[in-house]
Amino acid sequence: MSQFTWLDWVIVLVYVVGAGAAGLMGRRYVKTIEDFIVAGRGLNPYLAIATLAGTEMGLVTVVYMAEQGYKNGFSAFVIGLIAGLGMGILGLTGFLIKGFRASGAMTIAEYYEMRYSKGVRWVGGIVIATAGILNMGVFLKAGALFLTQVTGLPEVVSLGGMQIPILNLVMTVLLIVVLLYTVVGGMISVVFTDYIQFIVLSLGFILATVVIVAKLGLGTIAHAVVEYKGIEGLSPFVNPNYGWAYIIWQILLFTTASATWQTAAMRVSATRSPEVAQKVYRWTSLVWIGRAILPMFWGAAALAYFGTRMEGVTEGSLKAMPAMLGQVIPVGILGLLTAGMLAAFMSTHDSYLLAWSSVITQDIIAPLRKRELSTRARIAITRVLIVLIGIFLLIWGLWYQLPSTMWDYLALTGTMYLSGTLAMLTCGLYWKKANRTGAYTAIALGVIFPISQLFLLDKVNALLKASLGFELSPGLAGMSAYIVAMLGMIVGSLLGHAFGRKEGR
Amino acid sequence: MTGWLAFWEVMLIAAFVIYTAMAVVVGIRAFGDIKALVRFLTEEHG
Repeated sequence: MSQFTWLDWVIVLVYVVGAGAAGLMGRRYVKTIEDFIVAGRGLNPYLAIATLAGTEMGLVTVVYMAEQGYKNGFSAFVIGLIAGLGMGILGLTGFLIKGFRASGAMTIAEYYEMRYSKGVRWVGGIVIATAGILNMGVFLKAGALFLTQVTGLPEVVSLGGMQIPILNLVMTVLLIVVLLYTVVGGMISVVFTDYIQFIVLSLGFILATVVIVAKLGLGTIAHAVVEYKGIEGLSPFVNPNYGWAYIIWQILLFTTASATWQTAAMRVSATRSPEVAQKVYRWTSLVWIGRAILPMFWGAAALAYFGTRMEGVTEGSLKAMPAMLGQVIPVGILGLLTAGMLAAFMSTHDSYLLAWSSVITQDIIAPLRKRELSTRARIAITRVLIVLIGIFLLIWGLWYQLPSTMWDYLALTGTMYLSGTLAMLTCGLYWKKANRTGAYTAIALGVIFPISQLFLLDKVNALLKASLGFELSPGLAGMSAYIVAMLGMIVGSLLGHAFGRKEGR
Repeated sequence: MTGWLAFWEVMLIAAFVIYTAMAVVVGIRAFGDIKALVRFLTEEHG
């Protein structure tokens, strides 16, 4: 039974109204498309860290990381370690981020045009926007699951004979608040609210971890992991859900995503210089480890609290952590934690909505026009797209059923564009012979494996088993996408040169 | 098994301590950056 009371609701309400008001203040500073998309490129390092961390620490992050902790115990921590190390290496070396920031591009696809061609930007933009919006498609569901479990509210209430889905309603209201301030203030509003959200969610993160350790005990949780999962709960190399292919995929995924995931790339673009961008990455890498490991620890705590009985419940591995929080965290702190998680929900949605709508405006619609689109028209189109994506999220979130874990879905949709992007950005920045033939090949090959895993899993696996005697796991599909995209980029570029076409720049 | 357990416990504690310290430092210094951003946007565009 959840301990959520009226006091907790008051805390949540005060936060939502306050953050919404702060977001609306951003409107007065928006004058150009650069202000709207990258906050006039005026971010200093610490604010950039707060906004990057605020964006990438979504409620969905907490839910899927906790699911990993519940299902895989402490061996899931390897993902957090990879995430932190990946970002740290980018920050120390400047690999990808320094060259991208120096190019002056606002989106990854804009860089494609600078380096390859207008056509590559257009095709790349479609893949980026599709993968990004699909990726975002489960965020509302994660939020609804968290709120249901933590507050103890029923999913549906009957009112005058009508069945009202309370939590879908709550999520819709929250989405409208986010849409409202993102539509009017763009990145400037996002930065203002991200700062508040970073503070509130960090407070929630820290307090919840302290309370869990105080109430359940670190020793008890570790003992439960060993009891229920054995060595698989400790070693990622032995755990059948992970293994070498999965770990290599995660290294490629996090390194690329940290630099080129559109929301991260926009923060790189929004910094004052390439050096500031590098500094942001060095410091954010430290937050990154906690961003993954702390919610995974909450998932392991849920395993200690409920045992494996949540595995028998529909979407039980996702519900376990919030259900445990609702029963373990005391009144007041529970409200603060929920406000923190809603902060995480809002800060991720606003940035993602802005990111994908900007890609469609800048990289898909604008290049189709013969005459240059005015700033006013670009901002208007971006605003309409933000609302349309919001509507899509509501529909997709309710309809789509996850094929495996939520993290596997997110990582595979991300890989759809990250695999091609890693090849195109790496070769574009560091290899003179890279050209548009290679770029098109990398985009096409990078999409095939994740799509087959996400939407054609049964058919592809039946075919593979019959012909080659093995099945495609998420780890294998993900890792293969990066390898074939890179090979496609290299072979395609060499063929482009061999046939003597004057391509790329 | 004991080695893995000790390793992850150390990682967990380190992650918590570093996250807390970073949240405090970033929280304080980013507030100054917000004021600088507002000043920058006001001066840039009048």
